[in-house]
Amino acid sequence: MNRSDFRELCRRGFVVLDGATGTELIKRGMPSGVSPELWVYEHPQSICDIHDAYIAAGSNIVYAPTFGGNRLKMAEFGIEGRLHEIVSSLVRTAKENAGERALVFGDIAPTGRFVEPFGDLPFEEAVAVFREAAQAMLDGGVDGFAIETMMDIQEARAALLGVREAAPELPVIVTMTFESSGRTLTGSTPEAALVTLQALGADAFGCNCSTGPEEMAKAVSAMRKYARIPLIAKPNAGLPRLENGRTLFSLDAVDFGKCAGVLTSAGAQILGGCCGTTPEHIGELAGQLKTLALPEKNTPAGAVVSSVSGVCETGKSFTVIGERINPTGKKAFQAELREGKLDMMMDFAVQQSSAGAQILDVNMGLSGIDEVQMMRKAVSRLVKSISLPLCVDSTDPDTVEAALRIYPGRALLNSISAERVRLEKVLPIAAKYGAVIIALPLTDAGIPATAAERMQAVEKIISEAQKYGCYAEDIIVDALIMAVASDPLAAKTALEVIGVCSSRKIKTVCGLSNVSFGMPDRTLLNRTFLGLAMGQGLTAAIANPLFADLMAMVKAGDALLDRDPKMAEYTRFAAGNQSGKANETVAAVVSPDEAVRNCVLQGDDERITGKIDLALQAGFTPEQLLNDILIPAITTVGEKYEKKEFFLPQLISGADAMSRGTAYLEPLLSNSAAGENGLVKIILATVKGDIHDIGKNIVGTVLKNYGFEVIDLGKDVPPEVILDTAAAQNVKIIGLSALMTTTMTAMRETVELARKRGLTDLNFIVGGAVVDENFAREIGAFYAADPMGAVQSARRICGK
Amino acid sequence: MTDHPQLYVTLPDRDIFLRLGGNLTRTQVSAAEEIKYRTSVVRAFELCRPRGRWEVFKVKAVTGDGILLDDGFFVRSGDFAARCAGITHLWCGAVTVGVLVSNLRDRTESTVESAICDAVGSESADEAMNVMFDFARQQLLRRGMGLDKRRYSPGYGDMGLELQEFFFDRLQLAELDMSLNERFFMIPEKSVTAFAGIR
Repeated sequence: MNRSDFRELCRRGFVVLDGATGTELIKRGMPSGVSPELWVYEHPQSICDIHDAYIAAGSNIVYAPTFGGNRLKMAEFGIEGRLHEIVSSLVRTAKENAGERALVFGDIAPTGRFVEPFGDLPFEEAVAVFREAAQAMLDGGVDGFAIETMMDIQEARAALLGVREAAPELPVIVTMTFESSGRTLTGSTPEAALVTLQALGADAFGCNCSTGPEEMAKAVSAMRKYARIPLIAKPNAGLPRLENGRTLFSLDAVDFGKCAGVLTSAGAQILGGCCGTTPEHIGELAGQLKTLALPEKNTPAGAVVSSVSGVCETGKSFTVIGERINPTGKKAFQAELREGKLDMMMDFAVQQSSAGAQILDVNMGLSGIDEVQMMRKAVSRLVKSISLPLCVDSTDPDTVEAALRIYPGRALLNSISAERVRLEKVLPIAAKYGAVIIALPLTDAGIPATAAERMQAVEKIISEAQKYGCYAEDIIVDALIMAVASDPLAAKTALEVIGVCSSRKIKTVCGLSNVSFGMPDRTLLNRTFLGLAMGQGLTAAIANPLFADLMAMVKAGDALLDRDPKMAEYTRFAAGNQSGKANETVAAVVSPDEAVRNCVLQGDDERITGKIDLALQAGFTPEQLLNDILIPAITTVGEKYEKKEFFLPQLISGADAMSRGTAYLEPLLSNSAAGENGLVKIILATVKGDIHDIGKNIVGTVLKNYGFEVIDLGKDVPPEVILDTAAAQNVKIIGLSALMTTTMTAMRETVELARKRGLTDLNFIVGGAVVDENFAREIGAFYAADPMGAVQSARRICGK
Repeated sequence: MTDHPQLYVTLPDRDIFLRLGGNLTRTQVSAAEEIKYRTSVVRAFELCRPRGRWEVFKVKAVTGDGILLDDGFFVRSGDFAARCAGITHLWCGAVTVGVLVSNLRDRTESTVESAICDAVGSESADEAMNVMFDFARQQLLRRGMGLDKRRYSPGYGDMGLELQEFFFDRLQLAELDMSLNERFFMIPEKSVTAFAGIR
């Protein structure tokens, strides 16, 4: 069977897979703790019997018993040296037994290791492990491959690449396990996993194990929108439960069979069973499928890219591809790259994703660095912390391949031109890894002058890409905007290209800032061009999302062009923007005292001293600024924190700004004012035996800004030291922190020691992860759930 | 023993935000604050080096005040034992995210940065344990063993911190550059150990 035969098989009707193998082997005497592959190798009749039963029940495809038949799993039993002998023999046995009755697919399952860049198993080693296993199965005569029970998208990619490299013509179906959260163990959604593996060449994709049919139907349904290949559902027999020490599943064969409808309605076309299913379950399933119609074919969205955890359907809304990760014109970034560092890149990535970019362009083209290595390093680092899909931006084929090979998603590739060398060298790489392609209408003769000539170049790229199996819908045309400063017709020509592409439903992109190069007020030109281009149907732009005006225009454009259902996104954005504008307007005419107040509310400790200077120049006294502005402002911050309108970083930032402001004012305050605000002392300590002090430190920062003098004794502080310090410094309030149940007992010890010493005027406030109000009451202390709780308790004690 | 020299952990964004007192609907963060916050979170997360290992031990008996292992070791905790009726094996695992994130927390002069580092370290360690635990569940299921959903850790309820020694010895945690201080605190601080029943 080849891939085309498999497609035909799926076109004809439902395909029935087998059910559980492991439990069936146990029923036939396989003991626990052995290598199933070795055991079946030594007891070949067992798998023949199981397959006979599944085939009789209606399975069109049965899995060879090669689940753990890879070098890494077999090494756990010391039999990795016999991999080829055992695995090829298992396949041969299954094939001879099945004959013409059913197809036999080689079963490929996880190695048990996490793969680079997320794990320690080098990606190429993982590919080699799977390639070796696939070769052994191929030599045994397998009809196709089933990569199953994958929990990690990168391992699934490695397996698919390994199999494809060993057997390019054979069908490969892939299933992953999705947890009840709807994601794989490593955070991939069904859509993201489908988009990634479908692009990489899976012939069918879906889910197995983890859940029962009902839950699995949700995952299958989520995939359907983007599926060009048949979808698979191989669920467990419901949920497991324990009965008399045995694991039983909730669905018997009849109930399992009845779930066929929900799975096929969700879009599943290839069905089978996983844990807890038996030949009876498969028989019922196959019987039900005979009464059902194949799911209707849908037209999947094109040019969808993916990251580990999500997808971006370009053009669904206007797509902003963040342009900042590019060393061109950025001296500091260039210097960093030359040192092999990528910290600035990470900052660019975070800033752009926070500002609303949907895809990040990554360009490592810089003289004097190894672009291949740096691109690999950049991609590996970005994917660990940034959830946006990436756009690989390079003209070097080796760099492109290095990036696409390691990238655990489906990338956008910027770009492929109609130049011969690019078509010959880069297009096959893009096709192999299934990248969405940006087509640049540039030919060996240069940049075509007219829109019609550019469209000819586009046609050429599309037609060449289709020869490699790429879909025209997965190509986004770069309108090739040149600078209007050097060619007055540049913008007009690009707009024409966008218009023509739009009329033919071809998606378009542009490097927005090119248009204004060499002109004054570039942002005005960029914005205006963006408006014109959106009107012509532009789908995406490679731009700087940190330009708020540009992002505002994108939101407005989507609303006006019916790309924002119910204008929900625009409405949300506009609400935020209105308040932003209001703040801006106020900021322009804001009074000096209000400016000081805003610094505390916004946690701006850098500008607060400057604002205080302005307020003093305007005639405010230091006392007024402290009592009427700063203290009410920090009180507001505290109130917002208590209402959860602010979270901890905002509370601390506000406190830091307040602290800087009061320190700046302190020398200017009259003695009487200082006296009126005389500071109450409070001791803070993490109790004996406990070394966790972050909570205590935060409480200290906040208390200081509510007018308390904090004496911080640090962590792991014995009760005696705390009480001696209180006596020596005449302190009446003591705050104690503990993280563990085992160390909170030291709080009680401290309070009891104080009583023993007759220190009845001492007040204790306790807090920490495991401390609660009951415990505090029990030991005779005040309770602080958080920093503001500590402030309130301290205020109550001293009557403030 | 199953070793994970590098665990695959995705940034636990939401948990970090909640740990820092954020509320998903009520907390208002401006664009500028968001960028500062996210930058700090990602910087801290990049310093996390999640790794761990786990092992399964055969259980001889579950009593009112603990669990007796086949090799004679007694896991003393009545609270935990009460949840373990019928278990046949005991799962025990340890993860750490390493010292770098705690070092940054302790070194930085910014209290905000320090709080964020602490939250990122704690939540990443928890997430690493979640990933390893779910991974183990999948692996064990294939061996016909059902791993309980709830874990139990030393330091909670009546389970003494001294049981950290059991993890340290049996999982050979020194090989992961982990150590125990005299009060049984795991070093690096952002480490998690846990038991769970297997049926």
